[in-house]
Amino acid sequence: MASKRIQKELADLQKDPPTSCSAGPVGDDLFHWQATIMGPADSPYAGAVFFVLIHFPPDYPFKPPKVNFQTKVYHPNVNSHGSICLDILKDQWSPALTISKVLLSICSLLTDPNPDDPLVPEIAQLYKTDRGRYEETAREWARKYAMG
Amino acid sequence: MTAEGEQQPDAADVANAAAEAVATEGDDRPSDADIIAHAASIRDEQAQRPLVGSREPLSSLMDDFVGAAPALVSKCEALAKSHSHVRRMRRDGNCFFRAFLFGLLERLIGRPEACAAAKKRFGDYGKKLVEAGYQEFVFEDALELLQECIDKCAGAPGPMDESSVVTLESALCDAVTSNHLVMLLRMVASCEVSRRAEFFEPFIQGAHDCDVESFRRRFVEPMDEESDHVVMSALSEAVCCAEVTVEYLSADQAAAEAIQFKAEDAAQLDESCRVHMTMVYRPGHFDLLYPQ
Repeated sequence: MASKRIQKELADLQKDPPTSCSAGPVGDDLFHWQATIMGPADSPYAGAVFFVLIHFPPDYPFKPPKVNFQTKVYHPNVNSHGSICLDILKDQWSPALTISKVLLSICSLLTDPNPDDPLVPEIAQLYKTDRGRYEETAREWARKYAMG
Repeated sequence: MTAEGEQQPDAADVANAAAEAVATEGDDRPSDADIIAHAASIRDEQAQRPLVGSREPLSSLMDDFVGAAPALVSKCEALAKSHSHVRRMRRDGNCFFRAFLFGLLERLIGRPEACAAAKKRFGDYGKKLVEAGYQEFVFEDALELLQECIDKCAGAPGPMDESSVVTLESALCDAVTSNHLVMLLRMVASCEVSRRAEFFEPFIQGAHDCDVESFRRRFVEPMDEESDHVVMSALSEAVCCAEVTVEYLSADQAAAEAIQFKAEDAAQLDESCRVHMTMVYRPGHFDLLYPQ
């Protein structure tokens, strides 16, 4: 039934694609997707395109998908392995959520980091104390790793 | 009335753990790693048990408390005057929903009229879910599964028909089927909480210190989250035909106290379409009870 649900999510994404992201299976494996997320215009990531890998567990949607950035990103809630600290990917996951909603939440996280639950404390600290320098570095990384 | 200690194997262990905690407070407290390992071992142990157990004599419930919680033993004795059996649910946080599902479907067996009413009720609720913003594809397969289960109940030769009960047991012990149905009921309960947000808000704020939306997102829709009285009353309102009596076993009251959850509109339903079930609750866990 997991694959049936994933098929439905895919069909829904194709029928009604979100404006700032796209996603679909890599090759023939329905449980292994790649997604792209456009850096939100109102964030230092504007103009960047991030690649994200998605793994569906065999008991999806009862367990959350595993979502990782492939592209390097300078952000308090994303570490150097691309792991994302986002509540709905952990204990607040529910089967009512979808990949589309997860990707939109990641977009919001890019615009509004959550420095009080950081994965990279140094970036969170900088975000809190020197917003200008944080934004500068984030822009620089985006230019370097996420554009063309 | 949050269901603490759900993951504990039984009340005896809860009591022992509490006693140990008091005895060792300050010096030999277990490390975080010990606690995580202990929680994992309890989870693994629970995973060995069926999602829905078979009917057992009520004395098996009493065995849980002998030696550990004498106050609860005498309450069990009182329960035994009016109840004969218990059906245990796995302690995975979904016990209320699973007990509700099993209790409802088991009592629909061989009652075509009640089945038709329940089927219509759930079908109508599917529309309410869409109105409330749920995407149809997240629940339509689960709704179809539930309708199929109800159809099987409707085709049974008579109420509580034994082979139909066995079929139902195996359906609800199958993780895929069982979890889809629990997921559907979680969405239904969550949607009902939202529809009656004004009514539930003070209870939610009082017990969880959060708003209605976060309560739904954090405690109702995710699997394995324990249920409280808000969830119980929302679900019985939503399903309407099901009346749930909960016998509370807690150490601080003289006798088991029964609380009823019943939809406001239930009175408008014909008795032939109504379902009555009883659950027993002791700190952290619900099981189904069978009257004499």
